Amino acid sequence: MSSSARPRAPWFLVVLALLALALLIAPLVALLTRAPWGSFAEILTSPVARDALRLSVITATAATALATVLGVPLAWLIARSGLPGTGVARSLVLVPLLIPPVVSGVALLAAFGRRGALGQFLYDHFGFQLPFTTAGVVLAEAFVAMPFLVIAVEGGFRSLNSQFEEAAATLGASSWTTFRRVTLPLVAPALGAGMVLCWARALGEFGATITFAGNFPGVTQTMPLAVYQALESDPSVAIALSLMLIAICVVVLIALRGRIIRPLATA
Amino acid sequence: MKRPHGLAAVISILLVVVFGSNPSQAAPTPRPASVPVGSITVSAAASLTDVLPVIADAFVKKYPGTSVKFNFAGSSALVQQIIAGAPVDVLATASEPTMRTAVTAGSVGAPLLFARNSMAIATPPGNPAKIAGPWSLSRDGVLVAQCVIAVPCGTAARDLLAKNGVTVRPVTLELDVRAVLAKVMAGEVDAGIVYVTDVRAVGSKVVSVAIPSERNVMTSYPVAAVRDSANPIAAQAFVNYLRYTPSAQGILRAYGFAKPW
Amino acid sequence: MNVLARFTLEREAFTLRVDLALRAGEVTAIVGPNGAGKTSLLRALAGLERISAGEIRLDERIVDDARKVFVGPKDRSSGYVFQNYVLFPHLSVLENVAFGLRSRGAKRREARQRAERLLLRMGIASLAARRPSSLSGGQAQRVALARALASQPALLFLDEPLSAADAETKNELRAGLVERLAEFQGCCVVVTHDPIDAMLFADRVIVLEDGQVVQDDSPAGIASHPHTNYVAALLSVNLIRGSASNGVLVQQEGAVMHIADHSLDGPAAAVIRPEAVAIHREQPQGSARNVWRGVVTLIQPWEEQIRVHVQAEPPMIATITADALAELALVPGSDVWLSAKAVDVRAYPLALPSVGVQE
Repeated sequence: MSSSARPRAPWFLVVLALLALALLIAPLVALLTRAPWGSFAEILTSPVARDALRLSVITATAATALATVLGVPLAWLIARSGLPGTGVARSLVLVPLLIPPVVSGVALLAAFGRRGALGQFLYDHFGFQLPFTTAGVVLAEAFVAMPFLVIAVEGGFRSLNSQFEEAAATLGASSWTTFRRVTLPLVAPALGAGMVLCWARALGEFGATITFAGNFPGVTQTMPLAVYQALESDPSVAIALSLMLIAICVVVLIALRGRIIRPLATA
Repeated sequence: MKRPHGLAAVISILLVVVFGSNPSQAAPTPRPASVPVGSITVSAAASLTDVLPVIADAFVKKYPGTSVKFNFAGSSALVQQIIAGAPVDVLATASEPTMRTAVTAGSVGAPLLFARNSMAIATPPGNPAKIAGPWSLSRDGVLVAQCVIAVPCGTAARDLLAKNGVTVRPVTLELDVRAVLAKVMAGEVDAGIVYVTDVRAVGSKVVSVAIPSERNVMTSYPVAAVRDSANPIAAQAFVNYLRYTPSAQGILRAYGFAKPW
Repeated sequence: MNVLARFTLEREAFTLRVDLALRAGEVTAIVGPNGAGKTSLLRALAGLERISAGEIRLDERIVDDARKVFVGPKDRSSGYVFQNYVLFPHLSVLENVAFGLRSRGAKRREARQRAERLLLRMGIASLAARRPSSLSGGQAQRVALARALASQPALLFLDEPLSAADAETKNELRAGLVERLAEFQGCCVVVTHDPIDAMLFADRVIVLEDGQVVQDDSPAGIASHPHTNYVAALLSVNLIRGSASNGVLVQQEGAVMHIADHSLDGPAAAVIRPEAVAIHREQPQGSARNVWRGVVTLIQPWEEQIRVHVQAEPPMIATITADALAELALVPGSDVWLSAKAVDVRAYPLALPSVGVQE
């Protein structure tokens, strides 16, 4: 198609679009101008930053793994099972996406806290407590980030032609074989996109984590918590850590651009 | 104006948080220089959450035509906001070092100490871990929450433990004292190191383990007018009211704060 | 394996009702207009749809009784070629063909070897490493057929196997399919909307209209005695089988028919529409290349026209107008001459050129 065939965009749309872009970009650029470039390396190699970064990467990855193991079957159930109540389930999945993360933290405490409905059972029988542990951070991140994965994968399952599964069945494949060898590989692009979104969201999780898991360096203090804490004592450290987080997100998005995010749009 | 209690107070705090304050809105009309009028925003330490609105009501009664909004958070965060240019008129912190940061940055005028506080150990109702004093906190399996060192309640907690010769490994370093208290109330920790005033404020939802004064540490609360205030008269009036009037000091006593002198 | 299907399948605004016995070694074509229920019938037999009443038996085993018993598609020992082939896009051609063997328990190595042998036999070994997205329609069809046949099913279902092919490859595909189906020992059911395909593939043609079987007969029986307008219009054709070379089709009985296509060589079939057959009282002079004699056996009014059955070598049905019938004064027993232009004799290859891989 030749470019001349496209209608010209109305000027006010262009203006608003540029404004939107500026709104998204300006704060990040401003952050760059404030960055303590001189002491950047020193800040990022400090024990607090190293601990926080290591913990963030580990917990975000673990949360994504947990969300994948549980979220993929859930997405499949919602998209494919045709069981009653799946419509309600689809709406419920979105709830953690919409409520403030702090509320998620409070809800997690109510469920998994030492006095929580399930947490009390765990604590009484196994002496096991989730709050203030790295496992608690993983749970909080998974709670907040799993909807991204479920939505993406559910879309993948939904748009998948069910004839592929029928073909596998006529070829003698059990439903598990069909899922493993046909369905799952075919939704791989959507799954990849979901996992990236899930990981990025988990990496940036703040409210639910600090509310549910607390804040302790090396155990529960992830990058966003370290940023917030640094803001109270030394904003330049906070800015350096923030830039680090932004850089990770940008690198991940660029690395996966087109390969994973785009198929999601067309799936 | 009626006392901005309950819902009204919550809404006004929300408005401050969402929109920031806008003191110029009610810029003082030309009047005798000494009469405060118009609106001011007070950034105050989290431990002042309950007491300051009550004092503000008294202030507004005394000076009709004024109104007071609040922005409560950890002292350090407040200081950083003001240095960054937040439109605030009065700063009240929970420690002298945090106030000193703001003074050094040239953001506030001369501070006045208006109250003192001391520390207490809060435990969930029933004190399940049988905390008897600071020494109990170092026992194995006791989950302790305290503030992060960067905020006054964290410094005070550190000083308290040092003074008692106790080494404690807390499970969480919360960003303000109310967050510590929240963890205690939820029963997720066995003990939290907080201000005596906080324990008093939440009543029976926690148990207070008192610390004798010779083993306790005191923190001082300074207050100062912000240099860039759009309403310097009302700002200074509030600072003075807080420090010098018997009614303000009386309310502070009622909430458990000690005299500043 | 024999199939006994006596069932009703109800869907929104549509009911399919059949009572059929399908025999092993027999190729059955299901034809009918769009929406007649052809694919639904196939899917019910394959276990992709559940019936509403009645039962389906494979030999003596009940596989669906519309109540408790339902044997899923994976346990019906069937191969299914979907209309759009539905090759797994993430697997290579070889992996697609090996899929059924793998899921029926073969070891990875063994499955691949057997799949390779099958591809070789079908003359598509060169496609083994390709992805389905890079295949032409014809290649995809052959891969889909290979995939369905790989685990040697007792039942083979094909849904419009030629519909996705373009006109140029269609003849070749059809010929390949005829060969494969001739080899196939089990019970085979082909759904097609192209009546000529049905006539060429099948030992038996079942015509479905509006969810009902309206005719069930051999291709010749269908051609000579159509039960409905649909059958008469589309299926009632003259079909001749024989061997083609140099523009001539020679029947087993020795009769010769000139065809337009001179490139055709080997087993072939020719189709002559009844409207294309002219009847004469005297030996005709003219351009028609095919002229032969016969005796009228039956005169059958059909709608506005007359179908005349002529015993000849080869036998023919000709459609003429009532006026022509009167003019020619035909009665059963009349001696007549038949003629057909070579261009009206549509010939189709029934085997692939023997240049492929020998085995």
